[in-house]
Amino acid sequence: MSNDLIGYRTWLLKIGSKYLVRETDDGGWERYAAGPPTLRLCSLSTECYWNGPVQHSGRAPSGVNCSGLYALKTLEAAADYSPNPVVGEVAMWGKIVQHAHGWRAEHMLIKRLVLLMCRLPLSDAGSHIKQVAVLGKILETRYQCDVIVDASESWLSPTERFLNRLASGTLTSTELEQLAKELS
Amino acid sequence: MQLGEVVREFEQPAPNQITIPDVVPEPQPKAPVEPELVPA
Repeated sequence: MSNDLIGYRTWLLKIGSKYLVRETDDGGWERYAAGPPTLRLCSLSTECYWNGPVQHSGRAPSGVNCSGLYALKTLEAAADYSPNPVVGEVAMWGKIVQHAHGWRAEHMLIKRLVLLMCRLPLSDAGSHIKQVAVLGKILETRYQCDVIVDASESWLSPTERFLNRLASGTLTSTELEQLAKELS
Repeated sequence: MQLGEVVREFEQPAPNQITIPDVVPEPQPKAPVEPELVPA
């Protein structure tokens, strides 16, 4: 049985490069893009791209700082935290600070990614299935883990769900009457 | 991200499959192709 410490988090999907740091002529340091920009996962609070399955915190977490890579206790909590299209399972190690609702870790390994299809910014110009398949393949290659597609609409907010039904013309007159009552 | 109050601090060993590389190699641009020499 695995003794891995498992948490759940969410990411932004962004086009970005891997950044390295080099010394400048005047003795300072600068960040530079080491390679062409491609699709990557990005942390929410900082412009921090995840270049591969393993990510390290710039500074070890402790009880007196707020450093570390953050994770929540359940996939649902991660999905509810922010309306991002990617959530996932991570294994954590190194220095760990446990909180009431999650952890801050020194190192993380992505074990599984879940694409929430209803939150993906898919283009209507082509097949949604094809777009999701390509995206899944890109993420699977870069992060070397299983990528699962969740096509459920349960991840939409009540407003988004209502607007979807309105757009598809499937709202019933009873529901419209109920809405009118709520608005009056 | 709000995680609530600190419960404890500890050291966690690395997972077993941590032998995989940290970073997937970046795709390298193709080297420019030298034009073939045409005999005069």
